[in-house]
Amino acid sequence: MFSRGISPGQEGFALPSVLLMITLLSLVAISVLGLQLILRRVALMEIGKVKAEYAAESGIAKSLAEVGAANDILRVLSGLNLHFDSEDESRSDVELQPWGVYIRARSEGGFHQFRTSLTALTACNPSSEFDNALIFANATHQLVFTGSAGILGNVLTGQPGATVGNLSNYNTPIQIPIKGTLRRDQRPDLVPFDTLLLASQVRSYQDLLSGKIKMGGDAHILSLGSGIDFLVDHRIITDSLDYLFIRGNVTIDAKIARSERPLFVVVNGDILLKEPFTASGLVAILGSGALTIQEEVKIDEAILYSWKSVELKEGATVSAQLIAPSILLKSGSRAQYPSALISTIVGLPDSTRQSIFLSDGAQVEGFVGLYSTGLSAQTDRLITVRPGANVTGAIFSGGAVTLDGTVQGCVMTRDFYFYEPPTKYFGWLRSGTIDRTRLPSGYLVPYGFSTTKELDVLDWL
Amino acid sequence: MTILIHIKRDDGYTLLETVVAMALFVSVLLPLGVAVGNLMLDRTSDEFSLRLRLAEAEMSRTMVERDFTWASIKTSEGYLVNRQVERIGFLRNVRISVSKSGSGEKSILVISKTFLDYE
Repeated sequence: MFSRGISPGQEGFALPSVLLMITLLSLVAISVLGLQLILRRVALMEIGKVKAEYAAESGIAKSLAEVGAANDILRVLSGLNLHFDSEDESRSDVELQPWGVYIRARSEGGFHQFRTSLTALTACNPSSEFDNALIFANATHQLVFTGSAGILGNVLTGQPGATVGNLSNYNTPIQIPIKGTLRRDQRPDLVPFDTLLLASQVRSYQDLLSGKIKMGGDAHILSLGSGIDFLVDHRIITDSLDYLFIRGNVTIDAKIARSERPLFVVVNGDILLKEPFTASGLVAILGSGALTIQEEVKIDEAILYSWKSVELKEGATVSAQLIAPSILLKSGSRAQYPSALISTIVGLPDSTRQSIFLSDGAQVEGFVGLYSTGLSAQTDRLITVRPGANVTGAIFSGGAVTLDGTVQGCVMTRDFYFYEPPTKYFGWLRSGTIDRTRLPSGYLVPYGFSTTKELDVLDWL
Repeated sequence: MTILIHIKRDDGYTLLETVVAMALFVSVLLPLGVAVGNLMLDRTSDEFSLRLRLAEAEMSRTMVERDFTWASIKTSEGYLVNRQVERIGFLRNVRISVSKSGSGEKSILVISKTFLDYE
């Protein structure tokens, strides 16, 4: 402007200042517009994510309803894939596979470009048999109460029914201590146990242990051995590992968490799980020898299988499926819901002794089951609940039960048994109590132990 | 040419400039200012989030209380939350729609979820 010869003080400033203002305001407008667009996109993303998550959950519900209605576990054993489309344009792809005595459901929900995946463990709603406090499936002798034994809930027995008995060192009840109805059946029986899932899972574990490996071509495998004593820590177990094979006794103190891809640790030898061992989610530890779990380890949803025995040391707390012929919970140990203690000899000699022993003060929340096809004596197929031990859930025994502790839920057994020198007592209860009214609502049982096939979500991983 | 030189030398140049500036101010700056103001006051994204929260809360309530009845709830924020439930076998398909109260019930957000119900 000076070049135009206008003297200082006379040059214009309104136009430059307006142009400057326009520039500044344009920048502000662009920024605010950008911010608004981002906020709107975030809000729409929230909606998309919620719809994708709902689609994933809905997919699991639909797949469980479909499998339950078809009552066809065979399709699940080899892995069942299902696809669902919803009217709101969301979709879900669900994969169902066995996970021990439960069924694992992995669902990927989608809405436009948004995706969410969820994994759940599922189990069965208890059938009407579980409405009873006790099913005493023995047609040959009476159910005999003595001492402080008592039952709150309905009882089903054989024709001999129930009575009270005299036993030295124990008070004799004045009347039969059943607060509920007592029903006699000509041929009382346990819930018919559908063994397909359990047997197929146990056989697959045995195949892994015996080297008959069946796995996908892209499986990530690591083999260690042969040695005497291995120490497995976090450096060995990487996130991409699918199978870890070890020959020899092993101590594991790694921290493992899996929510989508399972990890199988297969050990030909004894296993010791010690602090700071942590297993969360889809982790299966399979051993041919004794499996011992020490105090202070953390186990959540894992499978612990042994050809011989599983032992929880004093004070150990887990939430897991313990599967072995012999299971021992030492004093003060705890298996939290949804734990399952399953004694089975599938694939093992019929003469193999089976036992589940809950020491004084041990606690189980979930399912305690002894399944047997063996012909050995009932005392070789025994669930023992010591005084002070507590089961919240259900006990199912194809052999006998020594019940001196408490059960908050129900008991199904072929017989009761205890030994008071010099006599073996069959059908007697001396200090055990069963309270059916304290079974929590929403309690689910492993697949096969319920006559209904009403599958429901047990836990989200 | 003489006039141009005269104009160039005239102090009135700033008047022309002011006129142009005023024209720009009226035609560009004011609308731009109004637009920026509107954008800053825009609460559309907040409303999206609010509708989603209302729908999610109703879905959670339905699931926890197992209340599978049809219902229409007017919220304090001026929205109408509708719950529709359809039963297919053991499945309950719950559809929650949110509409502006008094807008002829035209849904502005719909979420749906399927539950298992063995009862």
